[in-house]
Amino acid sequence: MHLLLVEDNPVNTEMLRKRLLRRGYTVTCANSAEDGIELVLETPFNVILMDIGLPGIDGLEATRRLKANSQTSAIPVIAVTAHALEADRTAALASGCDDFTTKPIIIESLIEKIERFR
Amino acid sequence: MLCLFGLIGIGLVVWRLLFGINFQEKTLKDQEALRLTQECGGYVSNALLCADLVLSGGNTYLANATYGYVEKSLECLSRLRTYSNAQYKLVDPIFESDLKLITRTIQLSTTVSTGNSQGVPAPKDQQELYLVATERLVDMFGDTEEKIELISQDNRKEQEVIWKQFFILTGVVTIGFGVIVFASWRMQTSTLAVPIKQLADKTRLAIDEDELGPKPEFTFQSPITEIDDLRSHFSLFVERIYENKQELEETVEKRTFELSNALDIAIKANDTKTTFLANMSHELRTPLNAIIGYSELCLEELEDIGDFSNVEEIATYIGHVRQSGLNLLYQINDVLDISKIESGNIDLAPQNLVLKQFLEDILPEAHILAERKQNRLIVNLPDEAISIRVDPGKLRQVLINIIGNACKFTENGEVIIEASFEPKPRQQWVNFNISDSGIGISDEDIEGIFSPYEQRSSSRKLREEGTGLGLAISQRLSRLLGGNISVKSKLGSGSTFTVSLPIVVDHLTS
Repeated sequence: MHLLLVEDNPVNTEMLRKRLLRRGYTVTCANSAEDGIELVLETPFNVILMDIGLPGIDGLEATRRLKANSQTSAIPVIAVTAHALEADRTAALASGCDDFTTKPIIIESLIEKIERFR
Repeated sequence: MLCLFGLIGIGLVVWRLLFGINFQEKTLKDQEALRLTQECGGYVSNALLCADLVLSGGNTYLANATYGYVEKSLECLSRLRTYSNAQYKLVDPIFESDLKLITRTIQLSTTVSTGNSQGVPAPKDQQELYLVATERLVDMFGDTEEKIELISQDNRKEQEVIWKQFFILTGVVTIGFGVIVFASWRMQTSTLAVPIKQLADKTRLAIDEDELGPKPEFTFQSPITEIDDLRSHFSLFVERIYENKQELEETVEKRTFELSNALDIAIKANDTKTTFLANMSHELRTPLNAIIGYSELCLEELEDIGDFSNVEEIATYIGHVRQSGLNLLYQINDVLDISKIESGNIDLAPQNLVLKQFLEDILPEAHILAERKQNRLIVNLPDEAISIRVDPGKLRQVLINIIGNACKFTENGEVIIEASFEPKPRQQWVNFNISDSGIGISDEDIEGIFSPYEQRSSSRKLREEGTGLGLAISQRLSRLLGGNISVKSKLGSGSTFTVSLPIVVDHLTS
């Protein structure tokens, strides 16, 4: 299963990438939404893990763009964010995210969400 | 005037009335006089009858009767004379001659009767004379009666005239009085009732707010000074009330505006606080994510490998855990600092510092901060002799925070640290200027840059660790140290933050 991880914090990116690799996923990383969108157009990812607070285009806007494009709209997007308020969850789902999880990441919970889209 | 007229009128009426009564009295006297004249005439007639009988041979008894009648007629005449006044002057001469004639007649009668009683008839000439005299007397009484009758009639006429005058006068006085009463009523209406009614109306309008303008208008001009005064005073009073009302309205409007502003500020502050809490949560979760994540990763690795052959990798992971833990600590420290400052629970520990040495001690940390984004650090240290009394920990916190910000928002640029001196009226001040060639701050963001919980717009969004409390803490600490902090910046061309402090301990000779 090929995952795209969009996350700007390199420390957190490395941690999550490593943990997902250990569980047998193929992981590609992008440190901005712009890079992420570009990668999605090139590679048929199975699931996108999208951080919300990003420099430049934020995760919500990136999701909206992906969902608006017929080529990418079918790819499930899981919002992975430190914005943990109910309003943030609502905003994420409204922008088109298929699921939502907060940081600190509970790895088992995230794997369960990813596996739903297998 | 009314009273004067009334008095004169009543006086005239009484005067006429008295005249009327007087004349009534006169009329009564006329009647009495007439009656006496008639009575007198009666006596005289009887006397003449008796005298005739005496002449035709009557005795002494008849002569006495004649004499008696004559006596009575004389008595009547003398009573009639008592009524004599101006109007009876006409009667008087007649009475004079009458008296003589009566006396003569009595003498004749006596003579005749005496002659008769002696059997000697009175001489013929005397008898004739007696007859002429008596006839004459009868005529006279008749004349007198007529005259008195005429006078009585005149008196009655005059009395009628007087009564007529009395009634006319009474009428005139009554009408005049009525006219005066009406005129004074009219005058009272125009001088009192109209002004009072207008004043009452305006007062009612004044009570029913907003119905009376600032200048009430009156259509009357009273000749009474007091009423005119009342009018002008009332106008002033209303004007004053209107002014006060205007003033009050303005004050209320101003206060409402101020309250509304205060409410806006309060709402904004509350919003900022809510945003701050959301961001706090976010900023704490990010390092926690790394701490928890890497710790778990370490455990996973260790479990898989079973030995420590992969030491270098594990050391890197643990290094991340440490750094994230530290970041979390800084965040928590900032939050604690600001809450301590805001509740006034911060203690200062001032010391005498040599400025140059103090700044040199900061430099290693400043270099580390600058190198993170390949910035060049330029430092202009002050003269060795300059010393200052200040809490070194707090000053260091402020300067490191500002240097840290400068390094954070500048990449491959310059960060300049320098100290300059500024003489002020009471004492020398030192300015620590920290300039950078970084992204700068927009005018919009600069406004609330020192406010706690204030979040900067996306143009300067913090991507590194930080609560957004650093500058708020720096400003409050600078103030606690007796100084202040200021900023000059332009979006895209760097920023200069200046921390100014008074030099409490002056130049020391080294």
